[in-house]
Amino acid sequence: MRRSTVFVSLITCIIGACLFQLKYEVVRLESQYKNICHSIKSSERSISILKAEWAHLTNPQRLQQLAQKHLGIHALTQKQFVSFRRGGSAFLPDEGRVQSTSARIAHGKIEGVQSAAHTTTSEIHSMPEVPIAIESRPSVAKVELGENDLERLLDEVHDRPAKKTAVKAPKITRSDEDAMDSLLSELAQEGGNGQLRGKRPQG
Amino acid sequence: MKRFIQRPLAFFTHHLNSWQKQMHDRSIMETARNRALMASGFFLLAFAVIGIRLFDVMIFHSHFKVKFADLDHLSKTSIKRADIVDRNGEILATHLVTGSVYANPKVILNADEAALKLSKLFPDLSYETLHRKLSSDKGFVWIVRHIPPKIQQEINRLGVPGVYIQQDERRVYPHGPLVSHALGYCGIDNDGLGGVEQYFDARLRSDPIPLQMSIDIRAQHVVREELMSALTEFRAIGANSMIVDAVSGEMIAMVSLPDFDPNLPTQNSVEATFNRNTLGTYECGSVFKIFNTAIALESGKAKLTSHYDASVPLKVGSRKVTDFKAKNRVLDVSEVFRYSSNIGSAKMALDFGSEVQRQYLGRFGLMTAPKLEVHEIGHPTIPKHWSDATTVTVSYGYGISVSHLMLIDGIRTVIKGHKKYATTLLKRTDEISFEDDKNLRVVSENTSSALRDLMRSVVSDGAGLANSPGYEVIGKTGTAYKNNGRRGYDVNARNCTWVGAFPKDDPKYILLISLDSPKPTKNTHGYATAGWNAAAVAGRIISRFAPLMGVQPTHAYGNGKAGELQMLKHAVDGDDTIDTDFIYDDEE
Repeated sequence: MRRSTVFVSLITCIIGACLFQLKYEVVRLESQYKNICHSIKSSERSISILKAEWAHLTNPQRLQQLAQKHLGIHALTQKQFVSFRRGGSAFLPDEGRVQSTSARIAHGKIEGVQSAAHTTTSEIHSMPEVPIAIESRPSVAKVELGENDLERLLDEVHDRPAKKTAVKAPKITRSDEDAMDSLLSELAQEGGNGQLRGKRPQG
Repeated sequence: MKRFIQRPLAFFTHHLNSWQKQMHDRSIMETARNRALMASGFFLLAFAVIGIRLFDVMIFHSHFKVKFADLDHLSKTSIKRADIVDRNGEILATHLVTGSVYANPKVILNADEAALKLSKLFPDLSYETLHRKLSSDKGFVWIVRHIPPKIQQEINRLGVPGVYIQQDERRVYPHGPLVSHALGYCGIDNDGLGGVEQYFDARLRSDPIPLQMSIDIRAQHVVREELMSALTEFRAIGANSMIVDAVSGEMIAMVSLPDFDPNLPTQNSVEATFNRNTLGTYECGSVFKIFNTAIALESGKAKLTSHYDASVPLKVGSRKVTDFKAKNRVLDVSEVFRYSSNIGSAKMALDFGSEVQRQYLGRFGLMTAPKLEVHEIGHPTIPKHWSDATTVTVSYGYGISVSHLMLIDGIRTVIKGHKKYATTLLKRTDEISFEDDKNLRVVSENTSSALRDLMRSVVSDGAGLANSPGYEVIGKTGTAYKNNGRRGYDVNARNCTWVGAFPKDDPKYILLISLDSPKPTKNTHGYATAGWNAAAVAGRIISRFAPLMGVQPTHAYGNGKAGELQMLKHAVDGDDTIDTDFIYDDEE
């Protein structure tokens, strides 16, 4: 009788202690969960602001204006389309073929060329006639440019020796709130003509 | 007194005795014990269950297996209205979390002071309006909607009792007026009031997954820019254009000018929100000769070699049909089409008759309102009585008003021969089969290929302003005098339309350009007809649009070796010599 009583009370004590422990853990986890939820929400908010701003800044009209102003590159024309079957293989870098400057620029920069670079002529002729773009000039539509790529590419096009100095990207130290403020005011200022007022520093 | 003690005592002893008697009754004792046992057993079981569960939770940590189902609920509650993206995933419409200021006038202590403080913060709001709002006897008034975070902080700093900030969402359109008509716009409470926003209002509210439209903003931009410059060049009062994928029916671009900025829904004029592509119905003029010729060829009443005398004006009832720039001779079907002869078309239509005409126009979808994912859909105006005179005028596009959406749909049916996929503003996610379905054919392949050849001859033989080398553009112009209802036709104002497609043999994209009342300019040699303005705009758009979409040019430099050499030379800009012999090793 006595032994069983002691046993039961011991079990009760242990369970009680563990229960307290568990309760504290639950409280801790709950506050952690709330924090995480809050930070997810605020991140989502910032992401949506940044996405909206990105979409606003990459407006085709603005990109076109900037490209015309700074890059001096032209839109793709139909003359720049050549299919592999109709002679595009001339641009392949392998097998000792003559390369043009433009083909070198195009190599790796145009979708599809990179993967096809190591195929043989016979393989090419069995390919379906897929349009690819061989560009005499880099085009806005097809070339994905980074800040440094751009500099290098421009040098290459103009046959200038590449500059050693790395181009520093302008540091953007703006909070979400600033971004949203400027975006909202910019959207509000725009009239029906859709003229953009880029406020970014030009670097 | 004694009685008071004795009575209860006697009562008590009596009961005690009877109880003792019962206690000696074994069966009753048995029942009581059983009940006690059962009760204790029940409690023991309950505690055992709790104990086991506690043991399970604490020692085996089974509570960690709970799935994070709550996270779904998190994402649902934080996004109220789904984004809209274009076919490449570029954001067309999204939302920003803003704050809206409201007040409870019953709580406000000093309305004068509060109004003064708030009016300093918001220069747009006058002191009088604010004071009136704040001193009303309502329990809730909006002060200002959708303010950015900085002003929210200012409001908090003011600390006016009874003025609160509520988290709100504002719909923003980062591209401004670029996709205005297709996209529509939202009211201040984020309810869709036009375009896709209105059509999919319920869907956008319930499902947080972005809605993907078929519009491509790059193409949209190209079209809009060219239309804008055309608007100024030809001093037109309006212009609109659509590009539709010929196979899948996806709308790649849809521009209607003048347009509006959906970010400023209150500042838009009725004229600007009017969608000329889907809502406006117009008499389209000679573009209808595409349908007329297709009906004549398909019904077997005419062959390409049939001849029609267009030397003298045709009299039908009280009307007299004449030609613009008349040739005054006998024309065959292709000449009727190319020179856009009204007399020839009218004679063609009289040959097959009004019954056949109505049947086919119905099959082309020109007699009923089309379906598209916007509410702004115009219904066609169809003549009530279909006399011979009606048949004649309809043959060259007068007397029947259709929307440009219907027109481009009809042309798609004619030049593809069938319309498997309806025109849509949403990107198709299902597999598109390019195979020709016999059951869906409206006109035979012979007829549609003949029509494509005819339309090609218009572009290549005529002024050819719509031509874009390498793309074998096909097309037809239509110039119609504007119908002013009862006041008749305005001979000084025209609707100029160009409908076409490219490449000729297997059209990939169908394009429609329309200019409202363009004026003649120096470059058009005094003409204000579609061949001089709408066709020119079409040519410019195609030259920019087709390479953008990666459409490969066909026969750009002629067929054969010489042409291909030319092409290669162009491709490398002549800065290197190329040994081209190996290219033709095993060419067919």
